[in-house]
Amino acid sequence: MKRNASRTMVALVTAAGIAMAGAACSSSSSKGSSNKGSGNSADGVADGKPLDPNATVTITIDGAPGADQAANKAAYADDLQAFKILYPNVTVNAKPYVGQVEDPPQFTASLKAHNETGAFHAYFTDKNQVLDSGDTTDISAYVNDQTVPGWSQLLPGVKQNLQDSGKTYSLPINFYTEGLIYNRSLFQKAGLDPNKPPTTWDEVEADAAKISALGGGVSGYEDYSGGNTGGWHFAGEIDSLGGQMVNSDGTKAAFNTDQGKQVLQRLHDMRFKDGGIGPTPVTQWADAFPPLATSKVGMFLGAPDVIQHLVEVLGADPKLYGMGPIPGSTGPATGTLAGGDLYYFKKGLTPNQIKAEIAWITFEYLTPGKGQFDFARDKALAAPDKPVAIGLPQKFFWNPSSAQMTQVQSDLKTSATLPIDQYTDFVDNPIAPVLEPPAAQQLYKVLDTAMSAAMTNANADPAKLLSTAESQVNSILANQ
Amino acid sequence: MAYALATERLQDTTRRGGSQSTWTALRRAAGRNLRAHAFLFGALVCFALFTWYPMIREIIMSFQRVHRGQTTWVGLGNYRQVAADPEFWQAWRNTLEFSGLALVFGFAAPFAVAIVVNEFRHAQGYLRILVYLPVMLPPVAGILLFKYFMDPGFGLFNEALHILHLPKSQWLASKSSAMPSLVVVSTWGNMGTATLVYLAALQGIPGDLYEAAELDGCSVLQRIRHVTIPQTRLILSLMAMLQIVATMQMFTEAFVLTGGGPEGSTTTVVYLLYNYAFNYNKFNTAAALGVIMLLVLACFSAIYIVLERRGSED
Repeated sequence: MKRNASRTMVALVTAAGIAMAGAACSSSSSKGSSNKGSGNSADGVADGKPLDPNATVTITIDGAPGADQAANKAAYADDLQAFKILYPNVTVNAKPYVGQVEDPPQFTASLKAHNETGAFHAYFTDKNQVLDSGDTTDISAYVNDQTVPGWSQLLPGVKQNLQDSGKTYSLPINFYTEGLIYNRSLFQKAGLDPNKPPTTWDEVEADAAKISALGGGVSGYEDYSGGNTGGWHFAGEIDSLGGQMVNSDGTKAAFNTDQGKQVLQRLHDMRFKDGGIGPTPVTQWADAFPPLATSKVGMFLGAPDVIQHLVEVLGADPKLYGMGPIPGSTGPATGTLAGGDLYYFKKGLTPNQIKAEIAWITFEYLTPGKGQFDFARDKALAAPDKPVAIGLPQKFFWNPSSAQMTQVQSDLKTSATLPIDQYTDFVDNPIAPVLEPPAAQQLYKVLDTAMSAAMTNANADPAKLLSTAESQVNSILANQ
Repeated sequence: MAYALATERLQDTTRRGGSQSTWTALRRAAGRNLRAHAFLFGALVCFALFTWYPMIREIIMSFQRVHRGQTTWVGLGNYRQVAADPEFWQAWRNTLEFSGLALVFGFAAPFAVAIVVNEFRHAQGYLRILVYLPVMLPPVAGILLFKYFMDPGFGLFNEALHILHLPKSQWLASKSSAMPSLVVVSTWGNMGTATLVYLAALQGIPGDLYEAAELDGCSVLQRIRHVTIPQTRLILSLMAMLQIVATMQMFTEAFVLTGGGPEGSTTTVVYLLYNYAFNYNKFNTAAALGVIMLLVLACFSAIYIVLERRGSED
């Protein structure tokens, strides 16, 4: 009896240990955090002035280019040296990344472990979880046109992502909208005009069917169906048709409409009626790129950085890709999903450390002609056998009439390594940016199912799929 | 032995009623095996730090919520939220489907292979290596291999079906075939270890039992039924329990191959838990789901123990 009891205990403990290992790797989010940089002689004060160049400060930051980005790595090192001349007493410890700058699960784990660098990279959609972590600092008292030149020229949609309840928590480093990326060579082979990308979804469907008809495993169009990316693209597509994911106050789902059904029905038709979409489902973010890089896909919805990834990471020929505006229902789209990257500041930094982080971020990411906008230097540093994507049709984050944008556009014209004339349609047809919905990742996960069904199930019913998704999303929004 | 002596002395001193004597006996017992206790202490510390502490933290977290850095107690709120999520029930259905299929194939196949390997007395060493090879491959690499094999457009499996004039399958791209495809991948990846365990058990069966069975005129199947299975019953039931516990936590195959799709048909409970924690940033809800999972697995363990006890009484 005793032996059985102990065996019972051993078995229960074994099961318990295995079951809980998956979810028990977090510590309390309510705990404070410590920063790894060190304020030295003077901590400084939040006086709204730039950092004193003579202050001795050590700061840490992530998002530095890693081993897989030789050219960007060299440019970053060059920038660190140039910054050192401006601020000789500031030491910047930059943590590199390989692959994707931010892997969402890893980012979440890092937040839970309070393991961020002094300034840490995040996407616009990470706002709630970063603020919930309690690990970020209010930098309202530190940012103005003097400390961050061009601060007042930031687009309202961008600024909205930096702030919460009137307080500023972050600085932007990238802002993008989605468009239609297409393979010019496949367009030509299919008898389509590579200088005229489709501007309506009907045209996309017709062109995709023609490209798929080329055979050899070529798919006219590809779209996501898993890993939250399916829902993400559903959001982009419904925005393009004038629909929306949630109502104006973000409390109810608003996608169970004719536009929502149109999105799913079209994908279903492309997959099962005219063959515009091939049989291989794309369930993860990275899966979309190899077929694009090897000319197996005609069209794909994405931000300009897709071209950068294809060229710099996968070594694709930049001449292959053109970019047009996101298609609409009967003409240009009424909205396009927007997103971006930014830097938060870890709780516990000294005022001088915050000022030094702001100085570095401003130098590296927010100054035309410097850092990420020093296109001439990037071109000079590029290795001949390793292409660098300069000239992407990014929307950036300043007012188009600002002095910052004027200089950026002018610099691009002289230093671009990409065929910028192939993106003219995208640049010349700006479409109103639509910000991502609340609880974006959860909503995207729900819509993954609908997107997956539309492209893998011949009997899928868009109306039923959207009704199911609607009730799930309403439940998610009610529990926010 | 030292523990038995110490326990006896402790019982003696307790009977005599002296708490100081108890303490002294404990110290003496510890002192006699100082090195052994030091090793034991280290292991206990690691166990407490990396197993028990996270478990206790998880149970506590499952009753809390965090908003803007503030932690509040919400009672059963997270459990109610998990139960109200339609994905929760679908995830359980998917998990049970996977476990059921994996139990049928993943349990029977290695046992059958072990019996076959056991019969090949001369080439057994090579066969053992062959069977164990998939286990030596990093799991994600092995799983990714199947991603290419099962591609509905140009995958190896569909090419093979085509050559055999059989209809092509959607494999991972269809709601009906995705889960069985994952079972195939999982069985392939894990079969080596199970086969070696069964093989060890088979080799422990005394040869004279088979000789006696042969003299009684038993066929091969009868020998398996009347000698092999009864002799390996203990290991078979243990492996069945471990198989249930392991398969109910299937994650990697679905994460790498299907992303939980198509249409959520391969979203298992652990995948849902991962989504709560790392995609939705709802660690507390994930903790509640983890505790539910624990209770279910504990039930399976209890059933196993009851069945095993009944078996040994018989």
